[in-house]
Formats: sequence, C-alpha cells, structure tokens
Amino acid sequence: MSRSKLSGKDVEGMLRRTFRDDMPAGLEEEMLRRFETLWFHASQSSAAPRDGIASARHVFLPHLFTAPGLKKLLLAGSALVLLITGGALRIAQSSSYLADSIALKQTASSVARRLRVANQMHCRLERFDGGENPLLFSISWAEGTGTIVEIGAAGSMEILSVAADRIRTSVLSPPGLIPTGKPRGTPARDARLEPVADFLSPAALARLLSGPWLAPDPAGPGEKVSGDYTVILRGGDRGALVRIDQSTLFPASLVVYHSDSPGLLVRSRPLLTAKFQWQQASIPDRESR
Amino acid sequence: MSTSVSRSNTNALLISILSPAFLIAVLAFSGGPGYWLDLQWVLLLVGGEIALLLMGFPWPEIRRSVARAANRSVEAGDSARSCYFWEAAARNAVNLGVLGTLVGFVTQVCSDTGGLSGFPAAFGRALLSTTYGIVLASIFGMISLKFRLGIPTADTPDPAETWEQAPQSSGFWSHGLGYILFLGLFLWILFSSVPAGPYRPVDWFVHWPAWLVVLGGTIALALLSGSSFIGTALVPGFAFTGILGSFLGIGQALQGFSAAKIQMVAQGITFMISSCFAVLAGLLAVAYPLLDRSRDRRSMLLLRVVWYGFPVLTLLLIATAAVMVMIPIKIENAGP
Repeated sequence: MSRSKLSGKDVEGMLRRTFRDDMPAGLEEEMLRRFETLWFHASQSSAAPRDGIASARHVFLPHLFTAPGLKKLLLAGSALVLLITGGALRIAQSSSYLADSIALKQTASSVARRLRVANQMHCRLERFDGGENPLLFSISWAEGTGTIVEIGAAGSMEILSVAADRIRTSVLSPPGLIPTGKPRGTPARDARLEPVADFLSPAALARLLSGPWLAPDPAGPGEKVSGDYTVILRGGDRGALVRIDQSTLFPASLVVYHSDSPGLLVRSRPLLTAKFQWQQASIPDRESR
Repeated sequence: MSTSVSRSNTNALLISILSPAFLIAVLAFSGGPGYWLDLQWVLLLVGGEIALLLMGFPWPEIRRSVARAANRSVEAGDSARSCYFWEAAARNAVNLGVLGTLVGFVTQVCSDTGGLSGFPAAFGRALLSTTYGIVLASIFGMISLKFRLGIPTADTPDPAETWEQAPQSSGFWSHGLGYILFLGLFLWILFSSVPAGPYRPVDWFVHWPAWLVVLGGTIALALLSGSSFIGTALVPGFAFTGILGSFLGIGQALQGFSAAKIQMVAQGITFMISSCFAVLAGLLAVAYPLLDRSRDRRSMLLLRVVWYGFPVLTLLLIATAAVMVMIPIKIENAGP
C-alpha cells in the first residue's frame, strides 16, 4: 500500500472492508501478528524491494525482471559465466582423478570379463632369470583344444609340452593332445612350465590380474601411454605393467617386475615380458558364459 | 493445552525407551559394536552437527532449545522455534551422514590400495556414516515431534515466543565459531582418509565442471526465485541444480555403456557424483545456516522435500554409481 497511489478515501475504505465490525474474535490479533511478521521479514533483507511485503507472498515470483539492480545483474552475469565455463569444461571432458580411477576399476572389470569370453590366445613370452639370453615361450591356447607351449631360444624353438588346461569339449581335441592316465581337465605340467603357469590360459591370466589395478603416477618417470596400467599381481610380491587394447579391452602386452612398489616398477628390471594376440567368441550367447 | 502436554509426556517417555532400544537392537542383530563403530564418521556426525547448529542459530537459542528438550514436559511458549531447531538438527544429521558416505565412496574409488574384490565391503563401510545420520535424525526428529505436539493452537496462543520474534543476540560469535569448526572438520575428514597411495583430495573431490555448473545454476535459480531471503532461495536452487547435474551425468554414463566407451562412462559417473558432493557441501555450508538464520517459515513443504529428498536421491545415485563402476563394458564382436 502506498500513499502516493491511494487517496485518503481509498485507504479508509480499504481499512473498513478489512477490519469489519463483524470480524470474528481473535482474527484482528492474528492479522496484526501476520502483518508484523511480514514487516519483520521485509526489514531483515537488505535486498528486499520497497514493496517487500508483496515479495513475501511466494518464493517463486520472478522479481528479478521487475526490480533489476546492479547487484542482481552482476550475480546473473557471474552465474552465466560459471555455467558456460562449467559446460565448456564438461564438453571438453577435462581430466579428473576420480574419472580416471573409475575408468581404471571398470577397465579391470571389463578385462576380466573379456578374458572369460576369449576363445583363442597366443602369447609370446620372454623370461629373464638372470642369464644373458632370455628364455622364450610361445603359448597357444584355444578353447576346447588345450594349450601348446613351445620353449627355447631364438631360432631353436621346440615343443616342450602340451598341457590340457580347461579342456571342455574333448571331441574337438586332436588325438594325443590330452595326456592319458590323467583326469580330464587336470593340467599335466612339466616342471619347466611353472614359470609361465599364469599364462597357459585366459583363466589363469585373469587370476594373475585379479589384484589391485593402479593408474600410472603422472608424476612418476617413464612414458605415459593411454591404456597402460600397473597391477599388483596375485600374491602381492610382484607388480606388472599391462597395456590394454582400448578397442577390444584385451591385454596387448604385459611386463612383470619383481617389485610391487608403483614408484619402483618402471625402474626395476623386468622379470618377464609377454605380448598377446586374441580372438574372442563371435557367438553372442557366449557373452553370458 | 493440558491435552498437548499430556501427549508430549507420553512422547518423551516413548523417546526415552525406544531410542536406546533401537540402538541396542541394531548392535545385537548386526555383528556387534566392533563392526558398527567407526570413529571417523562418529566425529563427522557429532562435530558437524554441533558446527552446523552454531552456524544457524545464536547460542542463547541453542541453549534454550537443548534445555527444553531435556524437560519432560512442554510449556506453552516453548513450541515453534524449538520444534524447528530440532528438525534442523535432524535434517543436518541426514545430510552429514550422506556426505560422509559420499566421501567414503570417492575415497574408496580413488584409493590405490582397494582392489575391485574389496570394493563392496568398503562401500558397505562408507554406508556406516549414513546409518549414524539416520540414528541421530530419528532421535532429533522425535524431540522435534515432542515440541510439535506442544505447539499451541489458536485457542492457546503463544505469547512468550512467536516464531518470528527477532533474536535477542545476533549470534556473531557462535556463527563464527560454527564456521571455523565446520571448515576444520571438513578438511580433517578429507585429509584424514589417507590411503597407501598418492593422495590428492582436491583432485579427488573437486571436479570443476560439476562445481561450476552447480554454483552457476544455483545462483541463477536463486535470482529467478525473486525471494528476498537468500537461504530460502538457495536451498531449492542447490537441489534443483544438483538433480539436473546428476541426471546429465547418469545420462552420459548410460550413453557410454551403450557406446562401449569406458571414459564416457567414467566422466558421466564423475559428473553425477561431483554434482551431489557440491550440492551437499553447498547446502550444509551455506544454504542451511542462512535459512535457519532467516527465520523464514514459508514454503516449508518444499524445503522439507529438499532436506530429506536430496540426500535420499544422493544415496541412490551413489549406489547406482557403485554398481556402474563394477559392471564391465560389453563389447560385441570386436576383433583383436
């Protein structure tokens, strides 16, 4: 109510209508109390407009457009700048440690799943056991057939042993590949295969990689390549640098180190290196295996 | 009035019996006190609650409300403001509890020592904070109910203390102390969760796109609301922006699953989680204290929906994020 807008007669008429003679008992006190409340609210806010009582009627009245002040314009401008900057950073997919960590855990989970659905694996492995020349292993695994391992030095590879690992469909296995006298499914391992026991099948590899995965320390030494992860291997006394093919989520290569310290991994001498080639099942229902 | 006083006595009796019984039952049926005791979250809840009450209410009012809660009977004149005080305490407990769970979740995801196999157990541990918050909120809510039942009706007006009565003390020192305590506690919680690996809490908890969008959106919505009370405008402003940010994030994550792109999934989850974190931090540190100090009782239904609705939504989103983190990406017929 403003005196500049209303004449004395109008004011008197309004008061007569508001405080009628037949007003119920107690209503006048209640109305006065509410008026005082609204005045209190209006006086509490420095930003309240002169007709602050009207603004107290509802929270969501768009008074921004009816009472623009410099303060509000500045705030509106700041909000716009913040929203645009945030949106731009989001579209640019700015890096975040949390996002990298989530991606890391999901990669570990996805790789484990991919290893379960692979149906062929070839692994070329070099093991450094202190000598000058590394010991070479060529491991071929196919589902239903078993694992064929060749061992030797460069140029003189020979088949050392045939291990029956995770044989399921024996009808597909060529004669002689399954050792006689052994229960089906039990690996018949030569002692010299023990150093590469974790690479004889995708299942064994999945168990090896089931430990914690770590993102490469951005402050640490060494070249940082997308898809490179550090894994503390099963047992906890060894670590590995594993490179994941981002399009297939299969391990492309693996370097095992003695130390399990992330900082020391890239500086210590490797125990073995492995490079993989994979083929996954093409039948969709194998995904549910 | 005598009826309301009698009901309040009954209520107080029920509170004094049910609260310890509830705690004992929880401990008895769920693995003993060793599993349920985590000092970090206890300190967050208790310390955070004290800090937030100091930030929102002048000291004389806190003292009066606590003293009245200890009385077995409610006298006329106690009601409205003390009822709000304890309801605000219940609200703070729920929000602090969920914030603790969020901190625990992020710490676990970013922790170098945590393998995927230990993830569910660690997440369960982080949920302890919400459990504490719910227990505290139940107790405070019951005390608030005691005052609500004692609110005088039109027949028995409340001359001694109306809701809108201006506070006798400005509460400058208690508010300042509250802010210092809250800041210290917040930093302690963030920096005390030091795992074995490198720990960079700013990198872990501050995802700039989410924080900027939440801040900008909240300011814009508060301006659009036209409310002369900044606290009343900020509470729904934060909540609506948080909901928007969360849904943007979850949409991106689902798109990532569809396109088999891990980075897209991770960015979406990060945006979702960081939006919730920014909103909870903003509500607790800024909006709730301003709202409590404004003594504004309008739109209480909307405010109550935000008080309890947003923490529940956050909890659901954390659970969704936890499941998403563990779900492997499905790649169909990709060659080697």
